[in-house]
Amino acid sequence: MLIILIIVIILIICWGVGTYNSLVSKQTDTDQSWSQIDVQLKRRNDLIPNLVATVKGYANFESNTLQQVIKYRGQMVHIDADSSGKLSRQQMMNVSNQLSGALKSLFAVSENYPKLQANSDFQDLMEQLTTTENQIAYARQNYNSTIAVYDRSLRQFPTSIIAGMTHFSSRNYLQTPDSEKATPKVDFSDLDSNQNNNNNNVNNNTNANDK
Amino acid sequence: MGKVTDLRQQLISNRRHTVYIYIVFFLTILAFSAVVATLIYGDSNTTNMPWMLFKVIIFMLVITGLYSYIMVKKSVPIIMYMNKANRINNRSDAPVLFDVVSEMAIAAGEPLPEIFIVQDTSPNAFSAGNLHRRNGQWIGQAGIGVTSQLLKILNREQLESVIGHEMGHIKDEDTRVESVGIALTAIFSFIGNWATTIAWFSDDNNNSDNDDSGDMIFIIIAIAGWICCGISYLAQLALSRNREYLADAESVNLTRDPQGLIQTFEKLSDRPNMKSANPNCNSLYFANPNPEVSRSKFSMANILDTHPSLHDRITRLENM
Repeated sequence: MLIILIIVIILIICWGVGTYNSLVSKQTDTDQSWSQIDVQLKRRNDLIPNLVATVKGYANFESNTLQQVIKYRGQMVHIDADSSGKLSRQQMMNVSNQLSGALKSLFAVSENYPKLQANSDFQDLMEQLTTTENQIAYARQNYNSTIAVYDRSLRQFPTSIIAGMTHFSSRNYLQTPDSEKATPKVDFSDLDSNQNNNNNNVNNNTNANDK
Repeated sequence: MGKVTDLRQQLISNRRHTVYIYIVFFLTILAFSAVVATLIYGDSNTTNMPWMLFKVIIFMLVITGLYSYIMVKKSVPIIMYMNKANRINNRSDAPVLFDVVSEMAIAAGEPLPEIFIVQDTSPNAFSAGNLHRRNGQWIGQAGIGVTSQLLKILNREQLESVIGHEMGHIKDEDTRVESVGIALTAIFSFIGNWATTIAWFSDDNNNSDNDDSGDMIFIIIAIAGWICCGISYLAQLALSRNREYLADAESVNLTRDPQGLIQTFEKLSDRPNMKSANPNCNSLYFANPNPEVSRSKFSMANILDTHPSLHDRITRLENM
């Protein structure tokens, strides 16, 4: 009788340890996929100064759109430098989304500068920033699916018992920014006729992306 | 949500089918060994027969096992070489392709595969490798090859959908099973070829009575070899079609854009035959590399196609 009891206890302990370890590995998965996002965010921060330098060489280029990009990039670098965990991942992504919006406007505006478009440095930067933006979006998608896996096992019985005993807490999904759900609309009707007086129109759209 | 669970269930049943395929491969080897053993030792002392059979089986298993092992272990370099693919070492050689593959690797949560380009006038893509997940870690390597023509005619979104499809194959470990299938088909076709050649030439040179039975042996070995070659090809085929649909679904799951894939299929609908593709590797390709054969009405090839028709694939995507 005692032997059976001991065996049962040992089996329960083994199951507990196994469940705990699987939770740890699922949690590590979410951290790993966050670091994927982080790498891309840093890469974008490094690319933007080159973009600014290239674009600045073109007279009359929308200073306002450029300022937005510089401003949000500055915020990203600031968050990065003091990554003491004060800001949540979602807050970090919110700033990142604003930067994405600003970059999108900048690319949209750049279409009115044929010389800039023809510049091979600019073309390369465009491609690099486009892929970085896409990688951020895909990394977020992957992050959310690792969260889903982790979250499901946290809630499932009997894993939830072990999770409750060892203080595993559920994690939040990263929200998809509204600007990505609907394609941003940039009105070019005025731009075609007069390139120098086009500020108002695009600025409105930039602001729309900020919200 | 329903579609996701549906996809997951299909993947599970796919994995179960994989086991059946391995069993078929194993039984084919056993059957072939039995035929060879009977032929060689059938006339001699019958009490030794089980032992002789055992020896031949072990011999065949070691040979096929070793060859399959090498094939799976070195799948990327061997299959890329077979299909005349050149490796892209720097991003600057093909920036957009490199970027798109990086994006899809992140979306799939896989390590970045090696990237290859095949110079060919037919648009197509394929993947190879032995990448698999063990204890939460990715082990092995994977490679994706695309033809130069594919890069020429597809835009970024369409290219993403193709790479997503190949990522799906790698993720579901299809490339591993296919490697074993290719190895077995190659071995049996080699044996068939070899025995055919011997039977053919010995028939011409010697007409003495003693050699008659020897010729018979080689003819039967040749026939058995070709039959086994066909069986291992059919076993591959049994899974290949369904796997193409699954990889299409995986691609849409990653890109969240069925239109990209549908547009790609439309662009590929009247492509020419591929010149660089190795015939043993048909099942690895994104779309059938020899579409001209299947398009001809009098061909029996449709039944033996490794790929469902592009039209069927588009219909499934539209219903997703």
